[in-house]
Amino acid sequence: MSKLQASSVRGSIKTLLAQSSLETHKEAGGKKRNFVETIELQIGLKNYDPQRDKRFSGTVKLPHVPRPRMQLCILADAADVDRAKQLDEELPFMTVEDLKKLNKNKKLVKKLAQKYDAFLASEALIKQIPRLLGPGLSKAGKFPTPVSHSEDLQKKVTEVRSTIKFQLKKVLCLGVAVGHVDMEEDQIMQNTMLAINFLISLLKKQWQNIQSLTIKSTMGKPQRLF
Amino acid sequence: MASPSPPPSTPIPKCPNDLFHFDDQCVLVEDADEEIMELYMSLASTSPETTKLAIDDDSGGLGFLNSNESILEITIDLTSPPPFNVPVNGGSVNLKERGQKKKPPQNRSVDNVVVRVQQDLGMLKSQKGDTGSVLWRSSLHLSTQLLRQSTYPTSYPRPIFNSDILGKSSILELGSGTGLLAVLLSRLCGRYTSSDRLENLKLVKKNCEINGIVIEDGSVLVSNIEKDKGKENRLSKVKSSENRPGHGHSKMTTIPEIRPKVVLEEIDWIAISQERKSHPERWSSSLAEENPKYDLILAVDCIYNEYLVQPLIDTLAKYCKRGKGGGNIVWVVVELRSSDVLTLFLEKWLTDPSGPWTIVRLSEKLMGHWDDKKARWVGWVGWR
Repeated sequence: MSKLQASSVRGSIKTLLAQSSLETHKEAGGKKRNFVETIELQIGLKNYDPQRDKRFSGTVKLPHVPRPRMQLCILADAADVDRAKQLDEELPFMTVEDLKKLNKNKKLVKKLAQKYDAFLASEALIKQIPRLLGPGLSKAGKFPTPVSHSEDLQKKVTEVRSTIKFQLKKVLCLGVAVGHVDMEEDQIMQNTMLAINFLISLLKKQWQNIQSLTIKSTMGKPQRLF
Repeated sequence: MASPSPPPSTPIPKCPNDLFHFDDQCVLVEDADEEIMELYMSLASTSPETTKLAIDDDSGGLGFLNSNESILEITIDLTSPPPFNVPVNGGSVNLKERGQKKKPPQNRSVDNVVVRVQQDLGMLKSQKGDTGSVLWRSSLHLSTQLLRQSTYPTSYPRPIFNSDILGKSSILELGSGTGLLAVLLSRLCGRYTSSDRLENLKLVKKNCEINGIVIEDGSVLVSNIEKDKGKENRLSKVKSSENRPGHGHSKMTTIPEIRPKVVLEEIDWIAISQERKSHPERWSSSLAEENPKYDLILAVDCIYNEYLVQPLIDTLAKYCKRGKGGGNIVWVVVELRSSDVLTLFLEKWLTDPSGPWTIVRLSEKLMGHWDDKKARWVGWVGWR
C-alpha cells in the first residue's frame, strides 16, 4: 500500500546522516554539530480544510526512543516521589503540596508546562490534578500520563519518550521527532516508516492528503521523501 | 481506569425524564477544562498504539471503519456477556467483507445482527469531502453497546437506558451520516427521527431501505436485519440474504413486534445558528416553555471542528426544551480526538445563554468498551 519506496527513504536517511557527521561545512553542505541533532519528519497536507474537516489527533509509540533527552516530570504522591528518586537518572517530581503552591496561578502553571516536555502523574492523583492546575497544562496539550504503582516507572518513562503525537492545528503542516543523528540507520528507518504509516491512517483521504514528506536534522538540509 | 479514591463529588442530579440510569461513577460536569483534562489523562493511561500497528488496517486513526468499500457488511456480535461482575470479554464487532464469515463460538448463546451500510466514497474523497458519508466507529460501538444491553438485560443490571421508557420514547438524531443508528436503534424506541443535511439524507434513506427499515408511513414486510438465535443454520441464512437484498430471511417470530420506522428530517445547524444570530427574539420565543416533541436528542461523533461547535449548541438548544410536563434531554457521544475542539464545545455548552445546562458524564461502565479495549470516547447527557 505504501507509496514510498523503502530504498529511497533509506537513501535520504543516509544522506542526512552523512551530512550531519561531516567535519567541515564545505564538503557537502553539512557539518557535525556540538550537540545531538534531532531528526524531524515534516509533513505538508493538501485537500484538507483545517477550518472544516475532522481534526485528527493520534499518538503512536515508536520502536526506538527518538528523543532520549526529553525532559519529564512526575506529579507524584509520596510513594512515587520515592520511586522517582531511585531511578538511575532521577526523575524530576512535583508533589501535591508543590502543585497547591502554584495556586492555579496561570503564569506559574504555564511556566511549569514550558519547563518540561511531558508529564507523568500518579494514578491516585488523576481526579485532583485538573482541579489543582486548571487549564494550563491542557492548553499546552501536555496531559499527564497516569502511572500506577504496579507499573515500572523507568519503563513508563521510556514509553512516554518513545511516543509521538500527531495533532493538526490550524495550519496544513506539522512535524514530529522521529529520531536523532546518533541512532543507527535502521532504527531511524523503522521509526520513520512507522510514523508515516500511522499518519496516513489518520488522514481522511490517506495518501491523497499528503502534499509532501520531508526529513530534516535540526541544523541540516531538508531531504524530501515524498 | 479505576481510580482508587475518587474525591467526594457533587451528587448526580436525577435525569429529568428518567430515560437514563446514572450510576455512582457518573460525574457532574462543572468545568470544561477540568473535565477535558480528566478525560484525556484517563485516555493516556492506556498505552499508546504500539509498533504492532496493522498498517493496512485503517480502523485506527481518524475513526472511520473502512474507507475503501462502498458497501460494508457489518456483523454485530451480540454474544451474551458472561454473568456480570466479570469484565465483558465476549463479543467483538467484526467488520468483514462479504463472504468471509467465521463461525462464532458455539458454546454460548449467540445473537447476531447483520447490517449493511452503503457509504458514499465519492463524497468522502471529493474536494468538498463530507464526513457524513462514511461510517464512523463510534456509531458502531454505541449501537453494539445498546443492542447488547437490550438483548441481555440480565447481564447488564444497570443499562444506560431505562428500557420501558426508551420503548415509548421519541428520539431525534442530529447528524445521522450513514444512518446506521437509525437502522439499529429505531426498533428499540417508540419513534426515531433521523436528521442531517439534505445531501446526506439520501444516504440515510438508502441505508434504511437496504436494511428493510420503513421510512415514515408504511409497514415493514421484509426485514433485512438478520436476527436469529445461534443455531446451526445461522450461517446459511446470512448467506442467503446477501444474495438477495431485500428478500432476506427475517425471523419475525423472535421479535414479533419489530416494525421500525424512521422519519427523515432535514436539519441544517448553520441555518439554525444564523436564525439565532439574526433574530434573537424570535429565536428565544421559539424556546418558550412548550412541551418537547422529542424525548431524546442524540448527537454521535458530531464534534470535530471549531466551526460547527456553535451551530451544534444552537441546534441542541432549539430542540431541548424545559417543558411543563418535564423536559427532554440531550445525549452527546463523541470520540476523543482534538482536545481543543472538545474543550471549546464544552465551554460553550456550559455557558450558553440558553442554559443553565446540567451536564452529566456517563461512567465508563455504562458506556462500555471498544472491542474489549478502553473506549476512546465520552458520553455527556445534558438538559436545561
